[in-house]
Amino acid sequence: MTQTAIRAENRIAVGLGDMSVVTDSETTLACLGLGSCVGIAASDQQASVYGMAHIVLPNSGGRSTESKAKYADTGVPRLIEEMVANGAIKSRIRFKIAGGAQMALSNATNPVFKIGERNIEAVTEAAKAAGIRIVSKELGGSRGRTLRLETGSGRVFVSEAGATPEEL
Amino acid sequence: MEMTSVQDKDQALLEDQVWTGLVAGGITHAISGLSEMVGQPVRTTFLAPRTLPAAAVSTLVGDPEDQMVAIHLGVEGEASGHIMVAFQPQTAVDLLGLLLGEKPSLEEGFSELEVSAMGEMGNIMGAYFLSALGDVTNVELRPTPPTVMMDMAAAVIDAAVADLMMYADDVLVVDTRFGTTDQQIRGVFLVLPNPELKAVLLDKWQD
Amino acid sequence: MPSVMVVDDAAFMRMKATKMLSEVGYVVTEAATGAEAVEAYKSVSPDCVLLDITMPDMDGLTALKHIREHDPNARIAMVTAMGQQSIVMEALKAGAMDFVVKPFTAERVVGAVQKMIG
Repeated sequence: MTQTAIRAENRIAVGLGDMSVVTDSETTLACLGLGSCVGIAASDQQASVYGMAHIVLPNSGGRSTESKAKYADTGVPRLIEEMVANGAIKSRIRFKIAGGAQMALSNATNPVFKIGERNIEAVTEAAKAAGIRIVSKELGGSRGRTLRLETGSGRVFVSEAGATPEEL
Repeated sequence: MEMTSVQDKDQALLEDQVWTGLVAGGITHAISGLSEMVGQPVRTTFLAPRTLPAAAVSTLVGDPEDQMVAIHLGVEGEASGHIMVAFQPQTAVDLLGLLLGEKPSLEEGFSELEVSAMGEMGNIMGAYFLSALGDVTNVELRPTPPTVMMDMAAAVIDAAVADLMMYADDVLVVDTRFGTTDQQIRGVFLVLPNPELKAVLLDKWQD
Repeated sequence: MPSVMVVDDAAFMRMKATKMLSEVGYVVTEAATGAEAVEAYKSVSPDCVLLDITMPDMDGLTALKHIREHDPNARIAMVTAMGQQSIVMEALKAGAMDFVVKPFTAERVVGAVQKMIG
């Protein structure tokens, strides 16, 4: 096996509704197989603080949850908070986001499949409200994606099923 | 006080047994629909109704990044939920060979006819499952038209899981595996009821 | 030769039914949604209809009612994987003549057509 963009050091798979913040330079954070969910790769490169969130739904509507990043409206501020608590400077945090697809080979008439679109809107709005810049994104469409963030270099990669990862 | 808790426990145990019995009957019917369609005996190899954290549900279809062919059906009527049928791509090719008399090539992707055949297979399994539940409980449930997907395992199921996560962090799931005796055809049949679906069925069953 | 209209959103099921019926000599037309079926019925006036129940863009039960409104003598058999009693009763009340359960065999499909227009 040749070493490509994906490193073999610490890997953290961030599951549905979960988030992870790290400060070392040898970890790869990943959201594996995002469909309608939106993955956020967040970095303060200068402070070497990195975070990833796996957003499932747009709005909490005041509902409580054990999952830190289940909802965009509460998950985005929570991610920023945890990064700042780990030494990041808020104004330096940058987001790269991917996901929000409508998965279907045939016509998806079920409204459930519209969740992706609403997640994209909600994450974009929450980032804007927090004053965080989204510097690049790979959103929508009908294909699933994996989002990876390599701490240290701060490089972010997106891949579709069976395809080589592309830098975001 | 102690008496009540014992009774509650008994009641919960009874409800679990009834629920397992109901879904097992439905699944037997669903598998018989598949069996008639492909003209081969198919049997249930594993069946487990349980409650899991949402993140764990998505791994029931396969490893998160594994390519899968999946059919999604919504459940409508007196209660709602989701049904997913999933196969490894090579199994889907073999199934299409049985249904259409000719195996498609995976490289070229599925044609409209092949997608429709997969969708119809899911539709028959889902409809058989729901009508069996309906016959026993008199609860009217029907499937929405099927949506066919071919993508990463985690991606094909996450919209359905997201829908259920609106209610809770944990998700009720009936995890079923089925296959032909020669194991040439193996698949996953998942029922993901909204919490009220189980309640409505148990309620009607007790009447 | 008598004509049959096959209505199903699944191309696979239309193909199967069409093949079964044209092999024994029927002239077959197809429609892919309930709405399309209602329109096609008005222009083609088939001798009978095989009508799927689960379809997007107007389901089979609604299409059944619309077609029977236009032609109270329309001969229609419902095709469905749902064998549930309540749906069968509703369709029979709305004037369906027969029920074909999916997955169907050639004997059952041809039999239903013969029963309607035989």
